[in-house]
Amino acid sequence: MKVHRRSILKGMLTAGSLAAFGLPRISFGANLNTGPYDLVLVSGIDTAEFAAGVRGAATATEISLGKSLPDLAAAARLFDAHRGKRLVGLMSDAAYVLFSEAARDAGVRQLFEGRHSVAADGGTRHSLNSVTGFQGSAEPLAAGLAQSGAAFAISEVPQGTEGLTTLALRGGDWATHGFASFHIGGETGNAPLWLHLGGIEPSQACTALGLDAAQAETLRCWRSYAPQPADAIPGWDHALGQTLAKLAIGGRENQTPCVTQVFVHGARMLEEFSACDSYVSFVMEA
Amino acid sequence: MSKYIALPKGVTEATFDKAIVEFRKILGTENVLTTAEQLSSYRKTMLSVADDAHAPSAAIVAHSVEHIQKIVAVCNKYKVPIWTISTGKNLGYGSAAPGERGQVVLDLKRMNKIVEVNAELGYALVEPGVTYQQLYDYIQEKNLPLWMSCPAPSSIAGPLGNTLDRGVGYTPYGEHFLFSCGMEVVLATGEVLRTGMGGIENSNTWQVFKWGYGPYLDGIFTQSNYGIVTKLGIWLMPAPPAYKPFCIRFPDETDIVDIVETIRPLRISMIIPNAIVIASTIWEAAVTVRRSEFYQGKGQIPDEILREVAKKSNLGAWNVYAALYGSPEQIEVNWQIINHFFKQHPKCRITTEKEEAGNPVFEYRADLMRGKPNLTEFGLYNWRGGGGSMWFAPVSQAMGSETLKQMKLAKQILGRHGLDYVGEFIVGWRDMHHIIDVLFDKTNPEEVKAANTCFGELLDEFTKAGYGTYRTNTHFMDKVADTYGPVQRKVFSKIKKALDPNGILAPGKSGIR
Repeated sequence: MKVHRRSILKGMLTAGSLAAFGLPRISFGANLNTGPYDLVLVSGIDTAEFAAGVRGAATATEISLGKSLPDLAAAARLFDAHRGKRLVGLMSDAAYVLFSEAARDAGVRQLFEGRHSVAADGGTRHSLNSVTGFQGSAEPLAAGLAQSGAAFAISEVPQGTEGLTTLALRGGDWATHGFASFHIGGETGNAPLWLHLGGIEPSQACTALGLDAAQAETLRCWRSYAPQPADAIPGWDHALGQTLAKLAIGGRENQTPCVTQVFVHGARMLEEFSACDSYVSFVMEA
Repeated sequence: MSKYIALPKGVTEATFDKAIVEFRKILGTENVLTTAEQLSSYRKTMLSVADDAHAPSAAIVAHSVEHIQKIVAVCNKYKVPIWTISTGKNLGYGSAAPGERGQVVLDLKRMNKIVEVNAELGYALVEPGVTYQQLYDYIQEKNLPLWMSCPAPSSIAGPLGNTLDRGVGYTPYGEHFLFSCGMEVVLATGEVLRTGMGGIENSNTWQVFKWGYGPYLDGIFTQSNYGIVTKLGIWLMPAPPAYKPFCIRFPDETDIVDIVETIRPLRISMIIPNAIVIASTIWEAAVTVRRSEFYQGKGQIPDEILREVAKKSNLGAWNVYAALYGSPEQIEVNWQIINHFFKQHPKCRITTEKEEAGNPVFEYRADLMRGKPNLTEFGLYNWRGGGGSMWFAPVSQAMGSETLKQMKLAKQILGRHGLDYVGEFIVGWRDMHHIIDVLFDKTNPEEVKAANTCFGELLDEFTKAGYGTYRTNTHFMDKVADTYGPVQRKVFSKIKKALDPNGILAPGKSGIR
């Protein structure tokens, strides 16, 4: 195993914590995802599949801000006109820089941010970061992508993941999606994490992580859990749209534990990943 | 576990609670932000470091000078440090996040009055939250015969913040600090200082005569933490009767030497009166295309691919942008001079608005050179994707001999770390700013590490070669401060202690404590 590959996978486990919304040392108690909220789909670049995913999960007002860089005056009007609503969208990096700056100017709260890279062979990598109450998008996204047989890696680092080793976590019936799940104990300074592997031998993953296989504990089912069945999803962006729409509308208590999770599906995700496209997704509250 | 996402250094939670209560009394609860979702946009940066390293403890939004005076009193009482932002658009330099973790962001975006625009004398007096777009719209609405100067992030950035960080634009008034006149500053004591002629009661020269009496103080409030600037005078250029932007494209990297040798005398004699941009192929292309359209491999994009990019996009290895301003007759005389000098280089292609019609890259450059804000250059962030960007900006003499060696050095260092050379030279009156955008994927931990190491090496190697950096991001402030030597640091520190003994104003800005 090349050192490079090992560091990529190992890096994903800490990268999320590096890129997250500044992990605070707070307990996961405050649940902000009440609702249900009215949804606004903000479309920018060609995100037809993302939009279709959103529509499949919720009713949303759709606002376009242009195909390339967003019209900032239109963005300001959007924020004013839709106060109290949840905004969901997928944009290019450049467009998102501008949109998120406009959002800050308007006092809009940024609840979730996802960074998505797509390789030429269709493999995707996703880095999901959220505030408390908006965790848990990795699982449905992974479930949706796994159904389609895609190769992907997802890391999710919500707030308040430290010091929760004693919190009971669903054992998970990830076997139905072809994942084997492991609990990796926290190294000094790092939070423990839950690692779900599909199409990869545990020993390969442990090597990629630089761990002894003995350090990885197979997750036991502390309580039964039946993941939501997912239909075959046309693509990652469709799955993402569905996932974020459900997250954004809220309306039910988010019972997903705040834990750092990584899903890796497909042995080729242990290889070097060369992105040819990248996007940013978001959930905001105006 | 704390209720805050971070605490100021040396301040307990109990003490910070008291400060927050007092901030709320002054500003109202809605202007004191402490929760994670309220602060998420104040902790994001594009830097090669975890966002958590720059997480604020809170963000407070002030609306007036009186608010700020009361805020600094609270900060002094509880030793709470504040980091002031105007529009908070210092993208690639730290964005809206504080310089050090745990500082309170003092957001002045709601202080957004255009206090005065004087068309006869050509100046404006603005508050921190005024954006370039706002000022531009004001000038257009009032049909004033004035042009402003703005940097590339233009629309969303603000003249006060950009000038205080000594940013530059592309019109003849592009050296923004040079063309500023008079400041109002809230000091750490809460006293309000008006610099230059502003101290004279009933003065009407505050925005027309820079120097005032005694030591010239405006400079110490730029790139510093000696006070909170609440008003700034800026000079606006009279709209010329005619304007002629042009582009000259050169095919080879080595042409840069001759380009600068040809341009310098034209620039010093002000035949070309504005800051001339010499943009590399990638910079030109990156504004509209993605790297992956040409190259999907690892490592720095190879030169042969760059040549292909240049060919397909009809670009030069170097693309020179400049403009002429004045009456049609003046422009014609200077245009003949320019053509005379550049036609000595048979490889170059000279184009004007006529030949470049419909080219979005020429259009955005032409707009910037007339002070019209736009956002086109943000397309650079799509070149590589991933949200990482740090500006590296050494300064040199405007000599051809300084160009190629800098470019080669930068390219070599960037290449060692698998990153591309996305650079341009901006030729000022006698200097050149060499602006390099270190673009990287912030979700890729290897690239983050590479970018961080690369930036440090760029600083080290360029400093060794005698090039100082004119501006830097919050992660590298101390390192850059060191390059200017211990005596300067001592002097800065002495001034800081005199003006802000409790160290409450942006400790660490430009390495000053």
